[in-house]
Amino acid sequence: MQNITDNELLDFLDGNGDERDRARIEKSISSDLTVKKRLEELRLVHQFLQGNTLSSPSKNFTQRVMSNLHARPASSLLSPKNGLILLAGLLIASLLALTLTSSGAFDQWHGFLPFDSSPLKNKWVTLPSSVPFDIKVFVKVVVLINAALALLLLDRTILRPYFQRRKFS
Amino acid sequence: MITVHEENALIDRILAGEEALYAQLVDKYKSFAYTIAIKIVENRPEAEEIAQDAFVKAFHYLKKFNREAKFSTWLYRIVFNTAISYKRKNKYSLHSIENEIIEYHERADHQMEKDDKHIYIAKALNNLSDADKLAVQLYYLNEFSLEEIAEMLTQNINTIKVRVHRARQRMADELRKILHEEALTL
Repeated sequence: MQNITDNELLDFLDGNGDERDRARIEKSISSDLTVKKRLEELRLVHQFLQGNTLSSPSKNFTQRVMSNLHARPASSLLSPKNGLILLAGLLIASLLALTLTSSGAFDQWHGFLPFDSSPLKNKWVTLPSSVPFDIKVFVKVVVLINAALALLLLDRTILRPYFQRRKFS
Repeated sequence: MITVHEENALIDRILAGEEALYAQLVDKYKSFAYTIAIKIVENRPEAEEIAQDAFVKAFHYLKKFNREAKFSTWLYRIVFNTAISYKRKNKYSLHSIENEIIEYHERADHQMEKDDKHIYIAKALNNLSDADKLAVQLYYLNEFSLEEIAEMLTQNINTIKVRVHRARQRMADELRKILHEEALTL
């Protein structure tokens, strides 16, 4: 290729380089078929990429941005796929917890939480010596929180993006 | 066409409470933001959503815009980050490559008189790494300076130059390979 590199040919196509460089490349193109062929390949790519133009969004783009200015940016939410996985996980955990509760697996798990040796207890803070604790109540509270989270996830990561996209399309 | 000075004055007024003026900035940069998003996600409805989201984010963070860079460069960076994060979250989307090929195919039909070589080049473009593809496409838009592209992609100018050169070389290599294979099958 008579010491003519691809980079030099690309600079030639971009219109870079001084007169001397351009003359050297032009001379090489006319005398060396390999250089000429390579330049043609690069020129085809160059011409193809030159067809790359700015695209215009829809006509009401600005209006839609302005009406959403105070909305929370949509893309900071979880993806629908991850939302669905998390939702399924929450539902499975809740169902498992409810099944175990109803089958009586936590029936023996109740008693008193002792506070006698609590480091929080001192002459200014008074705590009862113990409080009743039932794991079944605790599990039910967790299940309730899970259900609320699941509804929130369903809304934010699946339903809302779906309806927004449908509205747009 | 508003100058950088006028643009900064406009931003000051928006920050002072004249939010409606933000529409002027949106109008000025919407095509650029949308085009950057298309180059990354390769899907028009998604690109529109990303560009809108980026403008909303830019509005929320306008107070943090420190005026050291141009507003456009700062905005393009937000668009780029929003699009990349969107693409990561939806990377198993099935339509992207098809859309890209169709887009170029249509363009080839229009401007290049159904030249098959352009379809091969479009395929070669799709085979590039995301970073090389984006760098070369932004470079050929002739709308962004190398400095702006470098800042947008958080890389230095030389890296961008290398990416643009390498992308074109690889596309030409791919074209040669395909044409050579085609010649052998004739």
